[in-house]
Order: sequence, then C-alpha cells, then structure tokens
Amino acid sequence: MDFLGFVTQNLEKFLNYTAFANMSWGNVIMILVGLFFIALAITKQYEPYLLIPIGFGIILGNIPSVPGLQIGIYEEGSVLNYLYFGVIKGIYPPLIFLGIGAMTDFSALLSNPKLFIIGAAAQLGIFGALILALLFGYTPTEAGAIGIIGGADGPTAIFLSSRLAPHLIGAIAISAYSYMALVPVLQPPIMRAMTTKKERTIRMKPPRAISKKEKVLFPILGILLTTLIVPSGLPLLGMLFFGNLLRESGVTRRLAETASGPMLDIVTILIGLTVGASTQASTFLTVKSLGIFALGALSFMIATFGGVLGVKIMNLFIKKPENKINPLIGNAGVSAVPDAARVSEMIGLEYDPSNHLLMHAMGPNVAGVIGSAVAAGLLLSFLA
Amino acid sequence: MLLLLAMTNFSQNISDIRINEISPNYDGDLTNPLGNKSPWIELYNTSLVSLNIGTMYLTDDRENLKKYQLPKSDVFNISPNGFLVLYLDTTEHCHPLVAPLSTKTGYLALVLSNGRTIIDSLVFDPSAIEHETFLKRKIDGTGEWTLTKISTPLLSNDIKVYETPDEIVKKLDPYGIGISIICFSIVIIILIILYLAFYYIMQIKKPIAKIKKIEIKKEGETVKTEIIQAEEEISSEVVAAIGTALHLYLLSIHDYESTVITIKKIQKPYSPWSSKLYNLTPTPQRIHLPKKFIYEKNRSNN
Repeated sequence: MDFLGFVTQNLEKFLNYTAFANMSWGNVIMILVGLFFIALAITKQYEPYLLIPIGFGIILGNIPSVPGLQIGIYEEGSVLNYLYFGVIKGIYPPLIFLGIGAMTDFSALLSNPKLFIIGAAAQLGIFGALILALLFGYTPTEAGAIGIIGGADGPTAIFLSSRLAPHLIGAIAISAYSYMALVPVLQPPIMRAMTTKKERTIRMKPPRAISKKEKVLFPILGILLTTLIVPSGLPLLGMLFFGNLLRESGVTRRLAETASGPMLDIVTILIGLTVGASTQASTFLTVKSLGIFALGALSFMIATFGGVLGVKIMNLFIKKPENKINPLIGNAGVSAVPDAARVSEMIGLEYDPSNHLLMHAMGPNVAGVIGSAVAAGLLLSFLA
Repeated sequence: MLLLLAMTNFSQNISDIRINEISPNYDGDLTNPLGNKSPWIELYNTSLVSLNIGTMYLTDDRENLKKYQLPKSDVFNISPNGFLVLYLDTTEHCHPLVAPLSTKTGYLALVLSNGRTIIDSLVFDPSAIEHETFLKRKIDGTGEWTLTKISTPLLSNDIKVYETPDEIVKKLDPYGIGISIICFSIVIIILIILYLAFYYIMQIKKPIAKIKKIEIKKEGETVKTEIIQAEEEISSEVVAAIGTALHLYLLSIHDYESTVITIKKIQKPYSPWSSKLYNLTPTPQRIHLPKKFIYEKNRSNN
C-alpha cells in the first residue's frame, strides 16, 4: 500500500465513522422533535426545566455512532449508559420524590383532609388507560406502565416503566411530560362539560392555619398508613414523606434546602437528558409509541373526568352548603403540580373573578402525588 | 462389609430404569438430533448409581419385545436420579438417540438385554391424547401416570413451573378489569384512611365548644336549653389584618433612634436652613445691560 492508498483508506474510514454516513430518516425526525421541544421550552416556556434536558437528550441520542466505540446510550461502558443506569434501575425517580417532598407544603391538603379523596378519584385515569391498553393488544406489564401516564407524574411513570416495560420507557416518559405541559389544553373542556354554572361558582371556606405539630405528624403518619398497606410503593412514598419531614421538622433546614434545591436540580438534569437520549429512532419510532401517545392523552382525560366526578359525588354527601367543594378543583386530582391547580384557578376566575381556587386546588394536587405513587406501587406488586 | 456393598450394588441395577414421561403427539420447540419434531420418551434412573442402558430393547409391539435394541454407546449413560430422552421417529433413525418406533400403537416397553424381561411398560390410548398434552408420572419413577399440558423433558416431573404475572393476567384477567377494580379500590381506601386520620387529628385540635345553659319560659313551663357556642373560626381576612397590624407595629418600633448620653460639646455645624443670610431680602443692585437690549425695551414701551 502506498502513501496515497493509506490516506484514501483512512479518509474512507473516517467518512464511514461520521454521523452522516450512519444517519437514518428516523434519526432526522427525532432530532427535529428534539429541536421542537427546545423551541417550545424557550419561546413558550412550557416546562422548560424538563423540555430542555429532554429535547437536548433526544438530539444526543439520535446522532448515530459506529457501534463499538462506547458512545451510544445503549452501548455498555459508555458515559450515557452509566448515567442511564439511574433510569433503568429506578434510582432517579425516588430522589426526585425526595426533592418534591422537601419543597411541598401540604397545608392546603391538611386544612381540608376531604381533598385526599379527590386525589384518589383522579387515579381512575391510570386504570382506564390500563384497560384500554390491554384492549389494544399491549401485554399486561406494558399496559400497567402505559396506564401510569394517567397519574400525570413524570418520575412515577419513569419508575414504573423501568420496572415493568423498560423498552417503552422513552415513549412513556415523553408522553407523560408532554401531556403534563398540555394540561391547560386537555382539561378545561372536560371540566366545563361536567359542571353547571352554579357548581363552578361555589365558594369554598378559606383554608385554616395548620399547626407545626400537624405538619410534622403528616409525613410520619403518611408513611406508616400508606406503606404498611402497599410496601411496594416504598421507594417513592418513603422518599416523598422523608423529604417532607426534613422540611417540616424545622431542625434540618440545610438538608431540606439541599434536597429541594441542588440535588433536585442535578437529578432533573440527569433524568431529563438520559430519558431524552433513550429515544433513539430505532427504538422510539414504532407503532407502539404512537399507541402510547394516544393512550396517554386518553388517560389524562379519564383522570380529569374521574377527579371532577369524584367531587360531584362527594358533594352529594356534604349537607352544609358552606362545606361544598367546587368541582373545578377535581381536575387537580391528577398530580401535575402545580399546573393542574392553575387550571382550576383559571377556569374558576372565568365564572367568578373574585373566587380564587388555587389554594383549594393545591390540596387534591398534592393528594394526587400520593395517590399516583400508591397506584404505581400496587401495579408493581401485581404485575412485576 | 464387602458383601454388604456388593448387595447394595446388586440391588441398584439396570432394572431401576423407568419410563417417566412421554409425548405421543409432540409439536413443541424440542427437536430430535436429526432436526425433526417427533414424539419422545423420557427415562429415569431411580438408583443411586450411574447406569448405561445400551443393549437394552425398546418396543412398541407386545408381540415383539426385541423390536429395537439400543446400541452400545456412552450416550446411554444415565446419572443417578438422572434423565435421558429418546426420540421416536419411524422416518429416520440414523442416530443412537432416535428409535424407529411409533406411539400410535399405544404401547411402549423397556426390555432387558435378554429380550424377555420387561422392566417397565406403558399402555395408553393415543387417540385420547391431544396435541401439546403429555403423559407423565406424578412422582419421578414411581408415581401414577397423569395427563398434563406442561412437559418437563430432562427435568423432574415434580418441578413447579411458575407462570409470569404477564401470563397469569393474560389468562385470568385479559382485559384487566379485575386488577383495575382491586387497585383502584385500594388507592381509594388508603386515601380515605389518610383523610380519616387527619380529620380526627383536626377534631382533637379544635377548641372545646362552650356550652351555655339557658332557661326559656314558655307558657308557664320552664324549658332548659343548651346552646353550644363553638369558637368562631377566624377568617383569612381577619388573619391578614392582624398580620398587617403586627407588621406595621414592628416597623414603627424600628423608628425609635438609639439615644446616647455624652459629655461632648454639642457642635452645630453650618446649615443653609438655619442661615439668616437666606431669610433677608437682598439689596437691589444695578445691572448693566447691553445697548441693543435697552433700545428694544424702550421701543416696546413706546
């Protein structure tokens, strides 16, 4: 081989190594999806803390590389593969729950404990989607993972799908986060259709002040009452209540600040980026993924229906008019915190500009977080 | 001792081999060494020593016990409590593990090398056995024969085959209605328990209601009535007003300046506010204006 031949051979080898040589149309489509997510986050500010890492992750995951160089997320030994370990082993979601617990004030729920039940009613979306997924031919474990999208909780969806259907994790996570951002679009028509004008203007009693003792008791009683019945929910519920105890105990301020601040940010970056990168065109662009997106939208709608219906049923049993619950906070039973509560406030103000529902809606909203984590634990124990 | 050992060896001989499982109409994934799907029989060594069944006879004909003699080969070694699978294929049999026999006769027997002593046999109705159905002993080597849907070639018949949750749900609850009702009910129950727990905590913390007894005279008779006066809950507006008042009060405290007693001479530095100069009317002064300005001023006056 002469010098020219050597140079030509290496040049050819290099050209074969470039992403252009290995690019498929699927990769191009996924890169465009990633760019769209980034644009959506920057221009419309839809869930920027999630859509930017996910969008960028999609771009990372869809730049093709030659197998064997330990670059791709599914390639053993690559950096992305190590980071992805936290997703497939279900490490990141409980850490996110720790942060959520440390930053969430459960006062709105504790001041009116009836709102716990709305958080349960809205979980109808999970089981409605599970039945639909089975009807559409998904396996029971896949159906369970798809159903949890109806819980409207990204970390819970990632946690359960990593255990039940790891091959669908990317589609499920992206579907869950996308619909969480689309809550202001998906929920209002159902809320309006299910309520009368009179119901929409119900004024609820202002929430009472919650003592410190009650706030400290909440995580302790909460962990005992939930995980003693559903131990499989321990990773999520345990971390949620532990984070909340750090916050409410008043003596671990630094730990609570770290859990709800820098640590939550780090885990959010890692989970967003790796979930995005897991959406390689070859695994993501499938008929199953399209089905997951359709079922995800339906599950959010069923969840909203369940929440509003739950309030209407509860109102039948509440005799005193001043204790009635405005059904517009029923949608907040899905755990898309605080977007779902904002939707309640927005629709409530349309019909009575002085009727602020935000604080009332935060109650079922945080109850929904507990409800979806319990549901995830139950599905895990039945299907894993 | 030697005699005892010899007796033990004698008691565990070639006649300890048993037919353990057969698949008369096999259509599964298992293929014989020639690559065909064919019926098979599983033999089981009930003894505690390794045995070789080479030179023994296998037959599907009661009248001909020497129908097929197994060749001498190490492949017929069966370890203690071990298994061996022999395939039955009448089309091809150029492999020691493939015997040119059929299950259609409904008879199978294992005969010693002398061609006369049957050590185990099985009679069955092949037409009554469906596809993917197997005949096997309940307990390896000794148990009764039973029909089953689960085959265990080269494995113990006692083995419990666990179904995955996926398979169980698919089989018992294909639409997930049962699982959904159970899970949804449990979610509701757990959150109702939480509601009740915190509802009763709230009740304990509520101020004790004041009970006031009053007497009302009604048409000559006295009626004792209890009026329960619960402490009114403070509305959020009142709380906000109290909060604002406290905030303002705390702010006003901050207005007090700290006072210090000192023996230093008080200095009154100059300030334009206290200067007399700025309070006096200034003395009128003559201003020298340019000629042009004086001319234009006189013209306007005229």
